[in-house]
Amino acid sequence: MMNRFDVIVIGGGHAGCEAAHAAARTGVRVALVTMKKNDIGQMSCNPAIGGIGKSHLAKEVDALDGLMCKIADGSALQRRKLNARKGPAVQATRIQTCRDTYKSLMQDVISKTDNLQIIEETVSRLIIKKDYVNGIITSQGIKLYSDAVVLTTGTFLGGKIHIGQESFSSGRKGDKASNELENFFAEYNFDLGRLKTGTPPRILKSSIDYTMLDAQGSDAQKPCLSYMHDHYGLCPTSIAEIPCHITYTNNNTHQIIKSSQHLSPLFNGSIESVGPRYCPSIEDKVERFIDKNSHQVFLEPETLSDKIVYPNGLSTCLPENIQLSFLKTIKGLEKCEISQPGYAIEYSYFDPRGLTKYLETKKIKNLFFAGQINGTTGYEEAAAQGIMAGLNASRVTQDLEMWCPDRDQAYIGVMIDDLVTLGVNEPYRMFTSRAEHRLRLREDNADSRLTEIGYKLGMVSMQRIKLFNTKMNKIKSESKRLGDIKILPSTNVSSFIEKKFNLKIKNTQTLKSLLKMSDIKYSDIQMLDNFGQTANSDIGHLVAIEERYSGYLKRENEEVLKTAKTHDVKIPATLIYSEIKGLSNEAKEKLSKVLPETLGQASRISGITPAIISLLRIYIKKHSL
Amino acid sequence: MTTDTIAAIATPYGKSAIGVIRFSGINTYKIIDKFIGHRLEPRFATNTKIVDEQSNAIDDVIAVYYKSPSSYTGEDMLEIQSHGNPAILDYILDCACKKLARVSRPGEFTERAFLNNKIDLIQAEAVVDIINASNITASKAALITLQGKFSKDIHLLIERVLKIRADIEASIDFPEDDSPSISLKNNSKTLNQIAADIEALLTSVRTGIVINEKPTISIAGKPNVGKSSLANYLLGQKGSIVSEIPGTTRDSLMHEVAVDKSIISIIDTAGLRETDDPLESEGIKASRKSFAASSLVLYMVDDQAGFDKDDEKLIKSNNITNYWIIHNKIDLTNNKQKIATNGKIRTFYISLLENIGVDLFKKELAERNLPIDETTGTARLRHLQELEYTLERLYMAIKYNDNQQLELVAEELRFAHQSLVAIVGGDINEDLLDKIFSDFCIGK
Repeated sequence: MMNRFDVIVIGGGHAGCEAAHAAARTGVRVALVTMKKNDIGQMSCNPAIGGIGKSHLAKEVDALDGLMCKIADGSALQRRKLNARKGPAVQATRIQTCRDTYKSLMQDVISKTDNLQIIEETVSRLIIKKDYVNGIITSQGIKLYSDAVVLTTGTFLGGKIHIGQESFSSGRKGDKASNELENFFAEYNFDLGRLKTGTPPRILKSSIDYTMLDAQGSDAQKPCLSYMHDHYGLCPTSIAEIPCHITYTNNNTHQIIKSSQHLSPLFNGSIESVGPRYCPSIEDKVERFIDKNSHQVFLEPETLSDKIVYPNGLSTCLPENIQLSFLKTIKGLEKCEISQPGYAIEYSYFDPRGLTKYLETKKIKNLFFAGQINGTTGYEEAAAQGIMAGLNASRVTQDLEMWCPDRDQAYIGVMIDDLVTLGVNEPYRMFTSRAEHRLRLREDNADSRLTEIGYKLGMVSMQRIKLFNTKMNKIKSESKRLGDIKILPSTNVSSFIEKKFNLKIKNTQTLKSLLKMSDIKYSDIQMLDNFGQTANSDIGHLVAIEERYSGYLKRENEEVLKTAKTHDVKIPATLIYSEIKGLSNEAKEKLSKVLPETLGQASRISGITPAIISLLRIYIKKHSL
Repeated sequence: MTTDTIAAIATPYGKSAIGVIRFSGINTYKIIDKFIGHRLEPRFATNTKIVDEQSNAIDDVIAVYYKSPSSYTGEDMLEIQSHGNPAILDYILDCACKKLARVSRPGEFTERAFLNNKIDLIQAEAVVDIINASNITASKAALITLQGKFSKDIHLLIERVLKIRADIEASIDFPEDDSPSISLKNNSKTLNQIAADIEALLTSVRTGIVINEKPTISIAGKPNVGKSSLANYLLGQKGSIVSEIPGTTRDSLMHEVAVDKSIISIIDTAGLRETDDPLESEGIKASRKSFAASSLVLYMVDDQAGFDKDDEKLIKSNNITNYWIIHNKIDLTNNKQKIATNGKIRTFYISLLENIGVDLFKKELAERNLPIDETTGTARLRHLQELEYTLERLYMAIKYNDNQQLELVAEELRFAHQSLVAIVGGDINEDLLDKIFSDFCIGK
């Protein structure tokens, strides 16, 4: 076995796969070390990719030529567009996938990637030389050397599973935890915290009675996640169409849960760590929302063979017999059988304020963390960190400058800035409300924001950049064409528009400027007599979206410029906060913990006021730092 | 060079012969053009009229224009000396700050001077001190203006904006959960109501009704230590009934007094002790309210008994946080007049009866409450500006709501929320998530 690599990635989940593949794409030699080869690309929780905020992240990973979206498209069982009626900036795509297909497609890609070797070992220690990571040591004592290491161990670090009164050490149901590695990091004084997440019981499909339940299939438009499929016209292999079903809990369900609360480790004190507020267990829901006598449950298909069903909304860690008895009170599940009980898992994470925005640890150079160990939750959040960690690990070994998108450039930038600036106090999940540039960071334009940069960074293929450039040229020419077609007041066309949309055209307009009006779509102007001929109508809706927001974004730009000068001021890494006169101890402590890179980042730390920013700016200038 | 223009009233707030307003930044020239209407020779004092947006004359002023880089800040600057009537100063600042400038942060003129190399390194230390000092007075000034009804009104507005934001954001981020169904008609109704209430609040702020511009100080202590005597001394006449019987003052009595140049509200409170007398315990309740509303509590003790464990307990149990200790009646203990400082707490030894140490105490009290850089007027204007900005954003939100562009409504409301919160402080992102997760059961 080869024992020298440029980058070693530990873990083969969503973060690990993207990290290893991204690094390999940039041409360095990569090893992916995993406990179980056969678990690479496993979806440990619900069998779906995307959703609001999440598809935004996933599409950015795709725009950088990452794997997640392509593989999700290739294993789709059901595809939907969410928020279809709420404006393009907040629309999202979600795909129910076949868990088995997803995993095997991922394993297929990973095993066939040049420069990428899979090694099946358990890692017990890292090799550290003078604050630099230099490789890993496996539990067998084998040493593998590398210039950079990416750690993506998910919930395996100090993982502990709870079901009813039972609890045992485990990384995922049926897998052992990485306890040795946790001890190693404790030796190096990394700030460790504990979080909790949960998963529902899985149900045998054959035991469910669907006759009385509502089905939910794909949308008519069957959206894809990857730009390769949706925007660049390469069709994914459609594998099957399996609907989800919807059912509801009721008072009987809640009665059973309530009377068993003392058996839930969430309420009897066994679990002290914090779980996500947006993904509460059914015990939590019943306890906190007493007035609600029903909660909805999505019965999601898990695989193509369609034997197992994932009841989304019923995460629980009650004892297995109670899980079964409350399930049986639910319509359609009266005779259900559990294939695997639900459980809660507590795991360790590292305070992400110990990372730079390149996801490199501040304590050990060339060591990168990505995914759940940074306190996030979700496949898409993990993948997005993975691709950044893999890229930067590769770049650091080549002495190239590292890269991370800004908050106004990508949701990836929002997430990483939130993590390294604010830390986490519950598992971090992306919401669109976290992005102050939400109107700019859309599903439809992740490629125009990132693909060219990704190409320059060496992670985007020639094939993709060509397709991308073609699309951009089409947008440009259609946008120009529409801008050149005038609509004069008091003409046939203008009176037609006035009548149809109930508005008054006083000044000369163009087809393009019409698109700024709220209810006029590209398909509307296509019907006008002077629309003319175009070969680019397939991207017409993208021109329309850009127009819809252009006025708003221009105003936003002006706002941003006002503070740009102060916010862009770099804070030197050598700055010692305790020496700055006039800062409160609280401010000193917070700033020292985060070590912000710019005044803008410093200003986002909670409790850091404009006056403190002024003091920092003066100090930096005074000492000509 | 920074890209925005700042403005502030540079003289202490209150009626005086003249008041000075300063502007600094790239819009200075536009401000001259719009509100003075003719060219100003740099560095010449010009007697001119200043007008408002409708070209109505506001006042006769002396205006001085400083051209960049020959100015205090190094940027284009304008200094206007008007009559020292707060209403005039406010109005001038208010007009200019509508579009062309914003009210400055404390110490910001000096900060710009430093960043533009107008102040050397040795003076830099002083800049830091100014920012710190003015920051303290600013927060004090803000605290003063934020007392009472105004603060309550702002908090209620924030609650309402937060509520509708939580509804809209939840419907965007969690459309499949039990998030609320958004009705454009209801949105419009709610937003119009909030806007109308902000309009009303703005009117009352402009006419100076709501914002309290006077610092409030309470006098506290056990019965019969001389609280009312102190209030009367500061007041210069008999306001409270002073007698030898403990518990004479049963209600909190508010007086307005001038201590040197500062106008201060003094609240003389009922004596503190555990009591069964229902009337008096009502008085103690009132006292606690006064302490909460005060920027400083003067805690008095009889020097014969000294500051004892009971006093400590009373301070704690009544939530008195920011206080000075006054030892009265040193004429009976033969202690000398003196001042001791221990962190934020200052201790004075005085005799009100024999007038020992009282003048010194009064001087310290006046200094503590004298605005240095940031005036209450400036703090008040900043609030005004935030309210106007909020209103502007709300009207945009209403417009987008009519156009059925929910994502733009959400955007405008985020800005509206942010500027309301800027008045009283807080974190809009965490508040929003808290509201969403406490109101709606999220978790498909």
